[in-house]
Order: sequence, then C-alpha cells, then structure tokens
Amino acid sequence: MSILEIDDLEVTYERRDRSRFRAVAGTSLTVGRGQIVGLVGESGCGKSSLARAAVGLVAPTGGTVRFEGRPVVPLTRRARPAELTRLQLVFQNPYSSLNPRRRVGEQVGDGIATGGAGRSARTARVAELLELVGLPSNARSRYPHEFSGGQRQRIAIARALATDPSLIVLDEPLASLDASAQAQVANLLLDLSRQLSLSLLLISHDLAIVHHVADVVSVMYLGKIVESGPTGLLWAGAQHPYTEALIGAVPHPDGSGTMPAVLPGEVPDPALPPLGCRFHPRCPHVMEVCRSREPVLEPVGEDRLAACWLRVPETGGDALVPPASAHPLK
Amino acid sequence: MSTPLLEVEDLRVRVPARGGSITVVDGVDYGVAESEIFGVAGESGSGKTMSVLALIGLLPSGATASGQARFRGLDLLALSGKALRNVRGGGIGMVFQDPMTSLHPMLSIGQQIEEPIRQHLGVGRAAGRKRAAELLAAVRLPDPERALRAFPHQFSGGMRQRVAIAIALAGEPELLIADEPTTALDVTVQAGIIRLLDSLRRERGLSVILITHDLGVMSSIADRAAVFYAGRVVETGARDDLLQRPRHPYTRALLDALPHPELPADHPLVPIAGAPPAPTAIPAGCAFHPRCAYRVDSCAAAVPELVPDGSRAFACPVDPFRP
Repeated sequence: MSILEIDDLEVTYERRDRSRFRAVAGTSLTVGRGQIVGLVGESGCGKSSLARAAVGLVAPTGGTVRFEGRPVVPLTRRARPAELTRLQLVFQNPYSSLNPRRRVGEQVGDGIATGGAGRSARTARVAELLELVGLPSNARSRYPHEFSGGQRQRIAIARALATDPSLIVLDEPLASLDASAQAQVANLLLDLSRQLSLSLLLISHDLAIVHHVADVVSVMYLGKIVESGPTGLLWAGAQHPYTEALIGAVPHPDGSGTMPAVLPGEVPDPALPPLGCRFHPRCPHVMEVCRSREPVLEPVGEDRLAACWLRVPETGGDALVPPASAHPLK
Repeated sequence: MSTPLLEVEDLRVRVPARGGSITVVDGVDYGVAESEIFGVAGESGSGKTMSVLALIGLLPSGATASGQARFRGLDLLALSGKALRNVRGGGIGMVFQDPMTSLHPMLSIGQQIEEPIRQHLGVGRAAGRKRAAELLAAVRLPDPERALRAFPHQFSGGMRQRVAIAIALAGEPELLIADEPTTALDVTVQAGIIRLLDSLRRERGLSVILITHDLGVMSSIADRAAVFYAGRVVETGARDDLLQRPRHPYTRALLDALPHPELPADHPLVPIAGAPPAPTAIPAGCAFHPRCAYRVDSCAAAVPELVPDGSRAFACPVDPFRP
C-alpha cells in the first residue's frame, strides 16, 4: 500500500506583476511503506514546491495529496489533525530550522504526544530519540550552536521522529554538509528507514547521494516528472535524455581528469514552458514531434516510466536526429 | 612544475578570539605554476579559504598573516595600500561562492565590469565598454551587448557566476582565485563553469587556485592539489596521485566518505569518525589522529612534517598505504 499518493498535483504561484506560473504542473508520485524515494532535478524544477505541497505547507491549486489514505490539508492556525502528525518534514539548513535559544531536548520533545504520561516518560523518549540518531544523551541540555552541521541535522531528524512518523519528507537534507557528515547522515537515514519501516521522500539535487540512498528515483524537469524507476536501473540506462544529461554532469572523484558532460541551455521560465516536450530546446535528440506534442509519462519496461517520444514505438528509434545538428544552443 | 607563478612559504594566519588569538592556518607551503589549476580541498573550517584571503589582503579585521607569498617578485604579505590594490584585481582576480552576494544588485553588469577595466588598464569609456563586451563573450555569456545593460537579478545562478568570472578577469590577472565557485550551482551548470575555467587556462594561460570541498570538481580540472586539515596541508601532489593513490589517511578517508556512482548502491559510505576539530581545540601531535583508523601512539606526540616522496608530499610517518 502506498503511504503517500500524489495525483496530478499542481502548485501555482502568482508573481508581483500578477502573472501566474505553475511550479508543479501536474505531477503524480507515490511513496510505498518503508520505501525511500529520491526526487531529483535542477533548481527551479518544482521539487521543493512538491515537497511543501506534500506536507501541506503550500496549498495545491489542482490535484490531490493523500497520506495514509487521508487528504493532506494545508496548514492553518488551528492544530494539525492528529493523523497528519505522522507526516513530517526536515529542511535543508539545520542552522535556521532549529531555534537557537531553546535547548535541544525541549525542541525534540515538542513533538512527543505525552497523552498524560507525564514528564518522566517524555524525558525517557527524548533520550531514546537522541540515541536513535546517534547523539549522546547529554545533548538534550545543550543548545544548537554547540553542535556541528551534521549533528544539527541529526537533531532536526530526531525532532521529526518524535511524532512517530511513517513518512518524512526531506528537502535537501545533506546539501549544507561536508562529505563526511553527509555520509554519516545518509547512512543514518538508510538505517532509520530499515529499522523503523519508515518511508522517506528525499528531495535533492545531488544525484550521487540519491543514487546511494534511494530505492526508486523520480526525475523532475520544469514542473513535471520526466522519468522514474528503480535507482540501479535508472542509473544504468536512463530512458529520458534529461536523466542521461543529469547523470553525465556529475563529476567523478576518480582522479582521471574526465570533464563532466555539459547540458546546453538553461531551465526555461516556468511561466512560459516550451510547447511540446518541455525539454525539447535542450535535448540532444530532439525530433519534429517533440516541438509540437507533449509526451506523457508511460511505462517503459518493468516498474519504469518515461515521458519521451524516443520511447514511443511509432515516433522513436529511426526518427533520431544526429546529435551534432541537434544542438541548437551549442 | 615549470616556473612557479606563486610560491607560498610557511604561511600562518591568526584570527582574534576571546582572550587572545587562534591559529587557523599553521605553516602552509605550496606553489602554483603558470597556466596550472591548483586545487585546495578540505572540510569547512580547515583553513583553505583563510589561506588564500591572506594572499590578497582580505583577511577579516584583526587577523594577521606571517610567512612569505612570492608573486611576480613581490611578497604579497608585505604589500599594503596602492601596491596591494594593484595586485588585487590586477595580478590576482577573485571569484567567490555565491554570485548573488558578490555582485552589486543595483548596478548594471556593464558598470560593474567597466569600473575595474578602467581602473586597472587605464583606458577610456568607449574602450572599456568594448573590452567589457569581449570579456562577457570570453566567459560564453550569450548576447554580451545586451548583458552589459542588464542587472544581476535578470540572470540565472550559472550566468551570474560567469559575470563574476568576467569581472575577476577585468584587470587581466595572471592568477584567478576561485573559492567554491560551483558550490551554489546545479550539476549541469557546474559542468559549464568547470569547462569554462579549463578553457580560460588553455586559451589565456590563466593560473587558477580552485578551493573546493568537492573532490569530483577537483578531479575534473585540477592539475595538482593540496588537502587541508586543521590549518595544515596533510598531502599535496598531482591529481591522479592524490585521488587514485592517496598516501595520507585523511585523503583516503575523504574519498571513502563519498558516494561513488560506480559502486553498487548498497555499498556503505564510510564516514570519518567524529568531526573536524575546532580551531580552538586542535589535538596535539597530528591533528587528525583522534579520527584516524591507522593511528599509533607516536601520532599524538609530534606534529608530522610534510615529507616529499617523488612529486608528492604527505604528513604521515605511519604511511599505511605505502605501495
């Protein structure tokens, strides 16, 4: 059963000049129980908006988000319905997401539903949570500034775990950390997910780390998912040229001096998405059909989806334009 | 290494702290050759940024630098006033991590790039404008003439970083210091900046000091590199030696912590135990020893010297990876 079901989600923002644009333009995504789903894409592709809509921080303008079968309602001044507290969010920057003036134990303890169990039960639970994320129990009486970036992110994760969640959405949780702290937190997320059958939706621009952590990956471009599939398969053979470009751009620390591949052009303004396939102006394999008709996300082999005309038998294959002439922006 | 353009010797930087001062760069030596890209790697707080800010007199107020940094026959650390200003921008250009904060939001790109051109090259308005457009073209900015009239917010992060690089090149420097120039950028955009730095080196003979915490970026373009830990260089050498055959346990540990796309997804990442020390509490002896898997008793006794071995040098007498 899916824990999170996002169906045809749209998030629309209004600019100061009253023009509107869709940051998320009709996106569907599911997260299974105990599954780690990675969501990758360049900045401005709508992945953070999707994360925020998934937990109810922004109101969708279309589509639905269901968590454990119930609709996710946007946050209001009123208390969150109890069943939605099992859906948690961890932010990118643990320097700003923790309150500098409150002790770590108090902040982690906020989410614990004591149910009249009293102070000692709460204290015991805080100690348990801190241990779970690999922090010493004396961390409770200290302040966030006494911890390193990696430790602060552990505190933020402990705070999210306090409500006994079944799903945590993490928006770039590793982006502000050094390599070693990144490895520590990535391993922690993997352990927690396996240990507690916890589902994770991991939003990241770092493909290498997503490749390491996620069971399945969805690739987002300009408000839409263009490809999704099991991580290993997706990495071994991308079905969408954008996925291929993203993977090729990751520099490898192998000392060989190999230059990362360049994807020409930039992410277009989401207010004026290109006609046809949204990726066509940057695509090295662009065909006539790509300029006029938008491909839909369709199965391409087991458990895999791609939205690309190259993968549709009637339009793909022999219609390939040689890459040399297909680089309009190079 | 051919003629060294920059030679840094026994560089030390102290910054003021409660009740005195603390050492953040502790006796660093390195050289950068002409048209060489020299990588400086290390975790945050390892002193890599301070060690280059010292070269161009941009240390935070109260901080002091000692040692020598010879550049074109000048000792950079001894310069002040006008001589320092001539070097800063003229001989050495600087690019920072975040082009959103390093560019002035209220001035057009043209104003920001023409000012240093006129300063350093002493040319008039028209020549300055022409030169500015040439530089924007050199950093592969589309439509340079139009870009001159535009403002920073009208560009994407990657294009802003290209503008920042063009500004750094305005005084025709021989050395460019780039401090985490791609950290704020997407991988696709990062790939473009990496290639740009490489082509500037090839086309103009520019030397680059590339400060980065990303060993992947370093691996793409650096010819040689130094790995910093707790204010000291622990290993330095050619890119392939460092990344393929590291000799210092810290270099090895940094590599093991990275997700490697070639490895199977369930291959565990190996984080380094503990966290880097605060500059106020550097461990005695080898600063890395409390986190090191190969430590022996003597590691806590004396600070290991950087010992040359062929074209590389590393500071670990234990030498667990001796071939």
